[in-house]
Amino acid sequence: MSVGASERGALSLAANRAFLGGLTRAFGGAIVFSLPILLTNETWQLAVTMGPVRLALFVAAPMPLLYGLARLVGFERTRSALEGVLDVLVAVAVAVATAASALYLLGVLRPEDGLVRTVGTVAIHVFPACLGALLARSELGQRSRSESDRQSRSGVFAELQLMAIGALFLSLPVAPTEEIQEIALRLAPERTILLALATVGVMHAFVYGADFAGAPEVPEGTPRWTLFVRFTLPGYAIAALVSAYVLWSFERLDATSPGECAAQIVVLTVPAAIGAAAARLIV
Amino acid sequence: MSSKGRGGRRDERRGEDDEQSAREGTPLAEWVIGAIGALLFVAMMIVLGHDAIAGRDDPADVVIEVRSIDRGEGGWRVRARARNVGGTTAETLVVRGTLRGPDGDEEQSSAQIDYLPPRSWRAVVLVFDRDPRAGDLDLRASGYRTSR
Repeated sequence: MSVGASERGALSLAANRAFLGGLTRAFGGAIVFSLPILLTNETWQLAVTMGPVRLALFVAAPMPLLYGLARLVGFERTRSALEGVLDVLVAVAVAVATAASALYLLGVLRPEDGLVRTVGTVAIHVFPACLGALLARSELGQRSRSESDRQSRSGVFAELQLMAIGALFLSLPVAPTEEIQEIALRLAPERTILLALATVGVMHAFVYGADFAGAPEVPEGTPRWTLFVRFTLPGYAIAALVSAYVLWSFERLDATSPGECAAQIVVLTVPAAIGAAAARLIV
Repeated sequence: MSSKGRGGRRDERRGEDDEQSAREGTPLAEWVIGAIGALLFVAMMIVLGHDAIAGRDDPADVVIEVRSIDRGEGGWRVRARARNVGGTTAETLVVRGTLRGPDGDEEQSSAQIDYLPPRSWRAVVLVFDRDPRAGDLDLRASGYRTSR
């Protein structure tokens, strides 16, 4: 045990070096996942126009989801709750460093802006960068999965959590853009309904129709339509909830008629639902 | 690298004392970066939370300060800073300058700022035909949009 302890201890050179390797990957992941948002003008302005309560909530709210993700994907080491929290905190450090340096280099962060605006601008980018950091640290580079990993990832709750993360990931880059509002304004009610139905159809086909690697295992003799009820519909509901939350955060639902709000939610749920369906394949 | 070797070691480690060994195996560097992450998160929450509590309810309030006046090839340049001392962002803010000459003639110039966040400033340049120092120069934020 004494030999083992010195090999694995906190001061072990090999363990620290392996961690730093993972950290480098995390920075890579953070850049890949946050770049589309980092380069969007509307996102920079959000930090300026968003109310402080919604902004603080926007940073804090996805943290439990990221923790859940850390427990799901961190199969290498993340066995205890503490390790999961530590994983998320490391991802936060990587995300803030990535977003702040990128925004500075891109000339978005300026000395003219006060502290609150500077922090707010960085804060908007924390979630996607965190997500990239978490996924890259645990996934890229070491792809082997054992049966027990798969077992620990199954379960309806884990499935829905993953869907929420996927929905956030794909809806965030487009949510601040004018296009969502514009499309919503253009759509007649019947076409909005058609769009929602088509989204559900695409979502169902995405994971369950196609036999992708990583698609949820289907127990023998399960009728297909029960999967639709058990996964696709809750998945769409989660994607719609996530869309509504993101639009509310970005103040797109303020001073807007209920019909227009619903249309915007339906439009944003298109990428959200596809993100939700694809999450199972990526993670 | 040797992903097979790693996988093997991982499987060996997977046992009843997994949790304990995982904790022992957490490298120091990870604790350090994790602590930095915790600090950053708490700091972000404090700054944003304080902003939420300390009221961004009062509307934008824009003051204009003249920084310098000099002559350029395109006219007299008045460099100024628009500073928002209020609590909310001023959007599509128009800074208007009126120069009243000794002879009573008026000359106007304006510049637009897309977003002026609270406790932030933006630089503008207003251009006039005549020397602003010779007359009576009045700079003001003539109007802006606000989301709250």
